[in-house]
Order: sequence, then C-alpha cells, then structure tokens
Amino acid sequence: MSSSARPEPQASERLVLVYGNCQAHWLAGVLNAQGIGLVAIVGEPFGFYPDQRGMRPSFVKPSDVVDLTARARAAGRQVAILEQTSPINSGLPGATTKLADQVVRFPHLEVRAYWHPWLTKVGDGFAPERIRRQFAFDLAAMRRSEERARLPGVFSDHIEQTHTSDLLFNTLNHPGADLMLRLHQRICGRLGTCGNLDNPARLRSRVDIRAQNGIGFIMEHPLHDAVIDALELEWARRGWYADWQVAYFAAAAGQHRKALDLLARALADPTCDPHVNYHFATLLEGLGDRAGAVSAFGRAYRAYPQNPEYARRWLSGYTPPEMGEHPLMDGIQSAFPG
Amino acid sequence: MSDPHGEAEATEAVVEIFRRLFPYYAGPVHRGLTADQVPGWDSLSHAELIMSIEDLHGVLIDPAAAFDYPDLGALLDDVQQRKT
Repeated sequence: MSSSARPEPQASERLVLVYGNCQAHWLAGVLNAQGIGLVAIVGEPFGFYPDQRGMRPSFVKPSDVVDLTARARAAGRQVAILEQTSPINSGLPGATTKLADQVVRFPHLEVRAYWHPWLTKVGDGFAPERIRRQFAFDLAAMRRSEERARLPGVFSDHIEQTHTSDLLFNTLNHPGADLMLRLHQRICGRLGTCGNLDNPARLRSRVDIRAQNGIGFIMEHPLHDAVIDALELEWARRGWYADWQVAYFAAAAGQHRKALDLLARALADPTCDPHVNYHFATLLEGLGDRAGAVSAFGRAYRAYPQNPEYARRWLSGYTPPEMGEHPLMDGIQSAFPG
Repeated sequence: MSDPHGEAEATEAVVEIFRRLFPYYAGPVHRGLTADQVPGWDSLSHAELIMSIEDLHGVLIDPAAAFDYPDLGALLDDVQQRKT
C-alpha cells in the first residue's frame, strides 16, 4: 500500500452507531463480533443483549452521541451510522446524520399478520380476509421502509414470492437466517471493506447467522391454524414445525400425552428450533418430570444462549427447592435485561 | 380546499379513534397531524388507525397506498373520495 493512500478504515479506526429495533440490535452484535469497528447501539436493550462470540456491543444514550462522535473524530476515527428506516416515521434528523462520515440505511422487516394479539385488535382476527389484508399492509409497510433505505423491493418481493413455501420469520419481527443474511450482506456491502481480515470475518458472521437461523424466539408460540390456512403457509404443515404447532395447541387443550409425543418427534429433527425444547421442558415441568424438564431447558439454552429465559428456567429447575434460589440467578438477572 | 395549513378539526368519531389509539397525545386532532407529532403513531398503530377509519366509514383502503398519506387530512380525504 502506498504511504499516502488510506482507502479503508481499520476496525480500530471506525465508530459505528446503530439505530433501530431488535433486528438492528441483533445485527449490531454480529457486526461487532465481526470486527468492523467499535459498534455502539443507540438506545436501550429490547429485553436481550445481542452477544455474539462472547462479545457485546455497548449501549449509548442518544444524548451522548454528539460527545461520542466528537471524541471518535479527535482520535482520528471515522464515524458510520446504521439506521433502520421506519415505514412511517421520519428518519434521524439531519443534525445527527451530519455527525457521520457515512450513513447506511436498511429496512424494517415485519409480518404482523402472524401475531394474533395484534390481529384481534381490529375486526375478527381469525377471519381469513382480515389476516390476508393485514399481510397486504405488512408488505406495503416493508416496501415503504425499503424505499426509504433506497432498496426498493429487495426484501419484500422475496418475502411475497417465498413466504408460503419457506419459513422466513421466527416471530412476527424476528427474521430467520435467509432474511438476516440478506440484510447483513447489504449492510456490509454498503459499509465497505474494513481491514485485511474483513473477508474471513464476514464469512464467519454468515456462518453464525445461518447456524442460529437469524434472530431466535424470545417467548413466542407457533402460528394459529387460521393464519396458516389464510396465508396458505405450506411450510407450517411440514416436519418439525407442523408437529410443534399441533403439540402447542394440544397442550393448551389439556392433551398432554399427545403433545409430548409430537414434541418428541419434532425434537428428533436436527433442524428443529431450540424453542421446541423450551415448550417440551415447560410441559414436562408441569407434569412433574423435574429431571426431564431441566435437561430440556438446558438443551434449549445450549442451542440458543442468547435467550435469557432459557437460562433462567434451566437454573430454576436445576436448583432443588430446599436450596432456594440458585446462586447464579443473581448474575443471570443482572446480565440480561427485561 | 379552504384549509391550507391542515388546522381544521377532524370529526368527533375520528377524534375518538385517535384518543383510543394514542392516549399519550393530548393535543388537538386536526387534519395536518403527522406521525412524527403523535407519540405512539408508528407503522403498527398506523394500520390500526386505517382499519378503524375503514370500519367507521365502510370503505376499504388500498394497502399499497396506506403509507403514502403525508398527514391525517390526506387519509380522511381519500376515505371521503372512496365513499362518493
């Protein structure tokens, strides 16, 4: 490299400020572990800390951003802002974006048609037409968010084309690996390269996103039959998801033996989501099988340690009642927000 | 339109919907209101607002256009056009 050329920042020379919801926070964790710079999330945690590979981006208050960027500049660092665009609210004010050398925008991906507490707020939440109409609103919202990120149709077209055949979201706003890989790829492409370790680090992040299947469950449940049928979600009637879905509602109806058998079958599928372990454990615990429940909570935690509820429930079950609260519980409570 | 600044009050029924959806907004509900001025008016409550106004007037709004309205008045105008 020529001594006068300075074509790309080294990781230690870049401050990356991230604005957005849980999707943005999770991506910030991935990018932080990837070593793209000093990554800081502006705002408060949404019930989880986005740890990746034992590393956690810091959280900063919006009121501290000006001071933080001034210090970064004084230290010779570049400043980048990652902003998740809203479908309706204005973006960051110009006074904020002016602080950065680079602003990278990316859309907000969400399907509220998957969420019954929302569907039932207006009209008959179980009516097929209501559910399909909500999905149309969801697509329109994502399209507007994409336009604001200057990525028109990049994600929404894909979602519209594949949502019936592929499981794209783990919850209404927790995209799986496919969508998170696409978001990650766009963001990295726009941020540009960063140091000579950029390519292997980026590849490692992609492996992590795939292995974790994007953002996992934080206390969720399978889709209701009404949603699956209205949106013709073929993937929900196949494999481990179908078993989990039937088991969940069987358990709610008091058919515990049927639910346990179905959950056991779902868990035999290696592609099964770790959250199935959580429901299996909850059911075993309710039926008095403490040892089985502890084992299943532990499997859920090992498979997806980002979910604090798995840790809480595993520790609670691991500790004999006569011992009171497990000594590690204090640490868990302070290590995880919410 | 004789309300270039969007200051005209919305109808009582729309105000009622507004108060229910945005309890932290105590200001006047006028046609010029935008999402940035009302706490809690995000894309989630926007869809709820539209569906509630659809129910009120018995019309259906094209979801593809639902995020194009620059303010409350534009939404109400569109509803009015669909009624006539």
